[in-house]
Amino acid sequence: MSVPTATPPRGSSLAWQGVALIVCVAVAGTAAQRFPSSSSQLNAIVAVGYLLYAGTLAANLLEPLRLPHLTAYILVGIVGGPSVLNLMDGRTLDTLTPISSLAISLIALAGGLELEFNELRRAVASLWWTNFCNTLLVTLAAGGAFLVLAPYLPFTRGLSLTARGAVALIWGIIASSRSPSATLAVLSQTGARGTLSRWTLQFVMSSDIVVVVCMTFVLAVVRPFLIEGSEFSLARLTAMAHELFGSICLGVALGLMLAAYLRLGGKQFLLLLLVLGFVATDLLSYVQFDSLLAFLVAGATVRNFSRDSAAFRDSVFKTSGVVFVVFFGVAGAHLDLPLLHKVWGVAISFFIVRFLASVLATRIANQLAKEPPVIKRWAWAPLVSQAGLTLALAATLTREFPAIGESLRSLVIATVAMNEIIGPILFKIALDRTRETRQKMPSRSDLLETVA
Amino acid sequence: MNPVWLLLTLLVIAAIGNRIKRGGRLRGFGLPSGSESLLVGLMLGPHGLGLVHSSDLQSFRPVVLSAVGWLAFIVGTRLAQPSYLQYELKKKASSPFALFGVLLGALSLVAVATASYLTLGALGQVAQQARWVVGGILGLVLAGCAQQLVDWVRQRYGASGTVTDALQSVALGGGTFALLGMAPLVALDLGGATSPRRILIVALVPIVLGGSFGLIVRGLLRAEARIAESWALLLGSLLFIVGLAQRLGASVVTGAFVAGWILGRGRAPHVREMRAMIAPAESSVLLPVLVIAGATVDVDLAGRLVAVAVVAVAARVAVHLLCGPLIVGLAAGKLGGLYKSGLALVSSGEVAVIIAMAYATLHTGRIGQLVLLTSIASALLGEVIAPSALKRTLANVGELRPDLRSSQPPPAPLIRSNS
Repeated sequence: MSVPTATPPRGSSLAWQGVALIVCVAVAGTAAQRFPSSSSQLNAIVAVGYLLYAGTLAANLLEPLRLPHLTAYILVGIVGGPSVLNLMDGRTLDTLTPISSLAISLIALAGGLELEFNELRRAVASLWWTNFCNTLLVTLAAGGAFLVLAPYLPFTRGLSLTARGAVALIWGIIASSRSPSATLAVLSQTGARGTLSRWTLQFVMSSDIVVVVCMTFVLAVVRPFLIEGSEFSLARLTAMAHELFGSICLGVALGLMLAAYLRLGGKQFLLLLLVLGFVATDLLSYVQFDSLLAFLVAGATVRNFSRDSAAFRDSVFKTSGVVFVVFFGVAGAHLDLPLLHKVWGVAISFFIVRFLASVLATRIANQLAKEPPVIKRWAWAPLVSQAGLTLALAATLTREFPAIGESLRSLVIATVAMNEIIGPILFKIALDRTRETRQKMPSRSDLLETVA
Repeated sequence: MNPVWLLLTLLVIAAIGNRIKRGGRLRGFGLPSGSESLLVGLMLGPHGLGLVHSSDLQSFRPVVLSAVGWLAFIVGTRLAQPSYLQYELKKKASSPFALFGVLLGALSLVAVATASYLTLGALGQVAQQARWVVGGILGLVLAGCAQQLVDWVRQRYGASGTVTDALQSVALGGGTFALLGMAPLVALDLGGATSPRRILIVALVPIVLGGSFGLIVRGLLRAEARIAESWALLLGSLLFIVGLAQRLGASVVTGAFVAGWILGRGRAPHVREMRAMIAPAESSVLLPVLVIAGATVDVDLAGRLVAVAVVAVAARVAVHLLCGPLIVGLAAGKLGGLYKSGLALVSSGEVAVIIAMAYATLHTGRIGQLVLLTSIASALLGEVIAPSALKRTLANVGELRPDLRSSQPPPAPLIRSNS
């Protein structure tokens, strides 16, 4: 990774950045209101420009408050989204889907590139206890809260008690999911290195697999209770096993190919990442494998089997910085503020229950795994974030249970909105307090030295 | 084929071409003006393997517009570099060759527009009010000269001296004229009369947008030294300018060019850093754009309008044949034996394709294809004629130093990279 040399801007430059941000938002708002575009494709150019420009400025402006950049990106996305300025309508956001695919592949690759098998081997007990306690306790607590709050949720009124229990179980599993993207984005921005960063990365990535497996299992189990005439079937579990095994195998193959490419002195990393992000993601989707898992495994393979992985890591790190701005901006624009306004009471209740359950579960797991003090004190902080994975699980519900899926998905979106905004802030605070963040990042002046 | 896959395939092909052209032992293997990318595109397009069609340009619109905006931005930063300004305004105040480039571009515009107008009238395929508009756009597309050709002769034959510098300035002047000239021209409606007020407003939009955002980002980059943030600010502002200009019906390339000019001025550390940062991204963007241009041009779609392209290119060549010897003669301080030197300026180069792509992307159909076809025809013709003529001209004035070619880096102030 590059030698860090530059510090964030301070003082009077912040005022200049504030003015620049106001000008940008004003121009974007005027353009959206007075000159609407009929082409979502062409509108995407302004949208990406706005997200990159305004997102970067907003992130700099929030830095003195020690807020993570991705919070600023999300806020800028909310302002530019359908709920506020409508610079990005639904069709434009759909057009930007390929950028999200690219971002997910980069996130997973970057995550995998940070995973060393030796470290993972040492962390097996810790990962086991944390995953076990978190999945069990958070699922039970969130599911219980769902049952208690069910009378306030219109879509559960026609359901029997058993059906409500089934939905509560699904809700619990969804609540136990974390956000690999938010974790990676905060780590990427802060350049954090240390015990907490490593532990978080290992746990969040492994929890992704655990949640996917649990959700598939739960869906197979509860299906007969929610859809009349359907029966419990092992076929889904078989398909899931096939998907997981296939994703890992393809990930290893992809990783080995990348390692060979690096060994042969391959460059053009940006193009390579674009091809991986778009083409490989499409191929994985076509064969119905999990792209996040496959890229994660590919990254880990490169890290552990290639001596030339440093340059590749550096390139992924640099590229992801720009891609994250757009990815989280789009995520912010997707947030449904009117919906959150409608169900804010229930959403806050779910947020509090999940938060408390996560803290408790993590404390217990840390005690059982005999973690170091820094983990015992701060390990709960990175576990609040939820983002893309949770929304993907919610989208699955809409397909699986058309009768209640859409309502359940709306509730998930409202809750995720809070977790997505508050979670990264807590994680950043924890990294700052444990002194794992770096204040200096790669600078432009390094380029002049390199060229000279 | 999925447009994203198709686009990536073209990018990979362009990257391989770039590698062969610039990388390792084969450095300098590529054609002088980079036209091999156009040829590769033509091979992939409807007249070759048929992998790509002109309708695919519709799917590539966001990427192509962003790319041409980026290239226009880089041309702007180049023109703003102190070495050029000092050369024109201080050291050689008596021979402002960039201004000659502008004049040559203007003459070329008049000649090409008139020839195209008359040919379109003879063909009777375009409404009368649209003929001048089409002629004007073709004239602007062909107004510049190939900057890459001068870079090539510097790199490959160690060319340096007054005439070489003058030709570089002429190329920049012509490119500037073309990029700025698009501002009022895109306001002209092919379907009917346009009010002068609208023309003025549409012409001012990209200049105001590019100028104001260029100034703001310049201030921001002074304070922001981190690479990722600098990239996000640069790319973000550029895409914002490009997207807004397109949305307001204004010239995309002019807005980006003005922003580049504002950002690239001066010798301040942050300006030099920005140049070093963006330098490697020039060829990485230009070559794919050339491949896409070649792949999406469709002669059949242009139909009988092909004759207009032929006449337009011929008119441009005639103007350059007449004016070229005067410019070279002024730079060299002698006129004798340089009567063929106009051929050295025949290649229209990358600016022509950039402008044509910007236009053809937003104006699909016969006229868009005519503009694209004309730019490609001119570039390919220039590729055949101009390099040998340029070598001969520079040899005549004693500015070729083949022995220096391996050790001397190109004196173009932009720092170039092989990556």
